[in-house]
Amino acid sequence: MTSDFELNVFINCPFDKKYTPLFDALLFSIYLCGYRPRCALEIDNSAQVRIEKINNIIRECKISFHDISRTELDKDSKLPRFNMPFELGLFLGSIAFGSGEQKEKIAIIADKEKFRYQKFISDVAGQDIKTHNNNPEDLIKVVRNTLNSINREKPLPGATYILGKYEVFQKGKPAIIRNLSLTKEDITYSDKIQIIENWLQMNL
Amino acid sequence: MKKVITVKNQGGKWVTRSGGYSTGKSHSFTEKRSEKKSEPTYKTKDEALRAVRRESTNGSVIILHNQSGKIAKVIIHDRESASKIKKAPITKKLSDQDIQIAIAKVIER
Repeated sequence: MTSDFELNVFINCPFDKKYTPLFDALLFSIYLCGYRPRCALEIDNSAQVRIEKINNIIRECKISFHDISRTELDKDSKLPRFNMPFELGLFLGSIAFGSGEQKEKIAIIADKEKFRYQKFISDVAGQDIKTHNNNPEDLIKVVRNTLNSINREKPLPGATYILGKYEVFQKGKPAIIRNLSLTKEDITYSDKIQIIENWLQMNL
Repeated sequence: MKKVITVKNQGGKWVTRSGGYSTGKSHSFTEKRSEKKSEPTYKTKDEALRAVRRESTNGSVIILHNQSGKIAKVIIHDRESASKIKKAPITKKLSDQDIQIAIAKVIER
């Protein structure tokens, strides 16, 4: 029987509005591949220090997905966003300095363009950096194909199958949200997760 | 292909309607519901539900309407797919039943 640790996928990505189409595609494909998404948004406890929260989740996840595509200058502050590379470092550190199952961890790293990472985080050179072109379909393919290469038990559903399901889900989602008397702006991370989980239960 | 069984009151009788909807590529959320196969009628809702439960051994979604025609409950008879989904450890804000009803309304649209 597969343990929670083996199925947990730590998501390290932007959580802003612009990234939502990619984030939604990421969550959906992780679920459909039989894994469980984990990220800092899942804990609704402001008393806990953010870094502790992230460390705890990283400890509980064998696999991680790091999207470093938003390492760019903010339009207003003119400063780069370092959270994603920082959390990638934490995850790689847990592999390097952890013991036991922590050594078995796998990091999936993606950027929007091939070789762009070499300009700002060349230390990860040598790792297989995936490219999603800011396209949810490409991201689904990256997630599916990488998880499939990790999964030793049985082949995962094909990318075309997952994309088909995702397309149907996306078409129905606005009406589902309206039926809940909510708007897309009202939807929190936990709402999003509950909607995906229930939709898959009713549609798989 | 998921089997969907609707239980609703029509003209004082309880009707069960079996259908299915495909969720494959290029299918819209609603357009691929297969043609209805049969519409047996029952005197009471309990009778209809018993019949539906017998029919929906595995891989079915039962959409139960109330007397006034609104969706009252969704029952998922599908242990296999339920076990495929690894639920995330989140603090739930919404009721799963409310979400399932919201999804069922889209399926029936």
